[in-house]
Amino acid sequence: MKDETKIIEDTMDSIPVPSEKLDSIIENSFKSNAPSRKRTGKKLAGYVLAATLAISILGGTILLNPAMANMISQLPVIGNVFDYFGSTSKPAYKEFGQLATDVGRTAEDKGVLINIDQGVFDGTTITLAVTVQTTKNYGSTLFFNGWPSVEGESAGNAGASFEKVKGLGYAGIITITPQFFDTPDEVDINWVPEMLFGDKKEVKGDWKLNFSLPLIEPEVLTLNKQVEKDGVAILFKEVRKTPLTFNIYYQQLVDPALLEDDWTAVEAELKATDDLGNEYEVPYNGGFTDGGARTREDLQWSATIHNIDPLATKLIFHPFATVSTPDGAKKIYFEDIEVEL
Amino acid sequence: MQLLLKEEKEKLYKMAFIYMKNEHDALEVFQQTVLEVIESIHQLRNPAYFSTWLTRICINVSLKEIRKNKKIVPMESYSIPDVVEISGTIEERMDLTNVLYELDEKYSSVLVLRFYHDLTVIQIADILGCPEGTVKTNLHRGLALLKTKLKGVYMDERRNENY
Repeated sequence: MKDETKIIEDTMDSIPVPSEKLDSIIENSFKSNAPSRKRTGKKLAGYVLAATLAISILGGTILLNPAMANMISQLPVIGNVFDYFGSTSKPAYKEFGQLATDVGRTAEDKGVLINIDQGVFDGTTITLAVTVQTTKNYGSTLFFNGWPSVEGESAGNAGASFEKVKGLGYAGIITITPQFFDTPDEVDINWVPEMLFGDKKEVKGDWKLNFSLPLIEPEVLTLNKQVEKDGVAILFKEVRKTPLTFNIYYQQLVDPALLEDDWTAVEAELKATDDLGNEYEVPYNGGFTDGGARTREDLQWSATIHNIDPLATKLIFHPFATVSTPDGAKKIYFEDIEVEL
Repeated sequence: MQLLLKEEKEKLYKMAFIYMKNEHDALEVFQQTVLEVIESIHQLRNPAYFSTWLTRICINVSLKEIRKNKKIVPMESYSIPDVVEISGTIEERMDLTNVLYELDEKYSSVLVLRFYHDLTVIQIADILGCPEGTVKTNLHRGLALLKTKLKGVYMDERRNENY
């Protein structure tokens, strides 16, 4: 783990916790003479509900018996997870199934079998297709306490989207975008979720999944195009394309004169259209300031576009920046930038 | 609910400490948070979000407390705890832990929520009641500031080694 995240963990771990004082505060708060606590009939109903909630939350961690675990292992599977999503709710993943690396790692505990079906590492983002086999109904979707991490890299952004699948349990896609300084040829991924939960139930367990994903070598297209207006410049550096993803890398450069007070912040973003008139969101994955930055706002960003129309031959980026000051925000719109596909 | 609160107490107290930077005020925030949780538990629609909901209340109480007291705490008066499991001299360890406390709360809180509580940008945006873009920006700026500050500490260490 890199220094920054280790420092955050170490600092948090080092805060001394006056455990007895905290217990006593909690216990006293439930007594009738608790400070500034008003007991009304209406509130009492709340406490009863609270007690029920507590039972339902704690009750979620029920152990499944061996017979149940055996039954789970015999549940049908839905085939390729990327194909499943590509043909149903997430067309952006239509092509992923054919090009992704087969992982096939599973971990089972408490009657829940987690399976990493396939994965893709495009140099920026890691996309994982996951199934969770269970006979329990955790709710309409599933969340995890604990994200996959890439060995030796700082954690970045992560997202997950799980759906209930009849006869299986749940299937979903997890994306993680670590803060890579150099793109590795392969990533070693560890995932140790401590708990999974939905809006109906939760279960704590011991699942450990370790696997590697090779880099899908991207085609790199150097751009080096810059647009500038009102003290903000956006330098388009390069595009990295794989058959599955399209990542654009750009840098915002801000005139120090714009940053007279500490509260002014600048954020450059992109929207895109293609030559067929389709519109695309260009959500950025994350950014960083390099050591030689002239100002604290000189950030480098990467952003990913999914599901580009295969018939399009050109992408047109519409850059804009938001300058936030204590007096309000101002938008700056720049000239379009065209990229051949 | 007492049991649940006791399970979450450490996480909650540490969050309060990050904002208040001393035990006395962090305990005050903790107490106010617990009382507010008891008062408003009926508003929690989804028990799965209990932990996130607690964190949101704790942060709101901390911010209210900071605004109320209009506290400007100079670094010298921070009640920095002892550090465990970091190698190096006591001075070096103190420097390293100071860096997180030196950050503005808007940065330290998103860093702690992201990298210590393991929350997603969407969850953090929900807790802090701000757009996802703001969370991302503050995460990146916070990390960049942390990196710069760490670099300063390491440079100081190297300088000391040269003497």
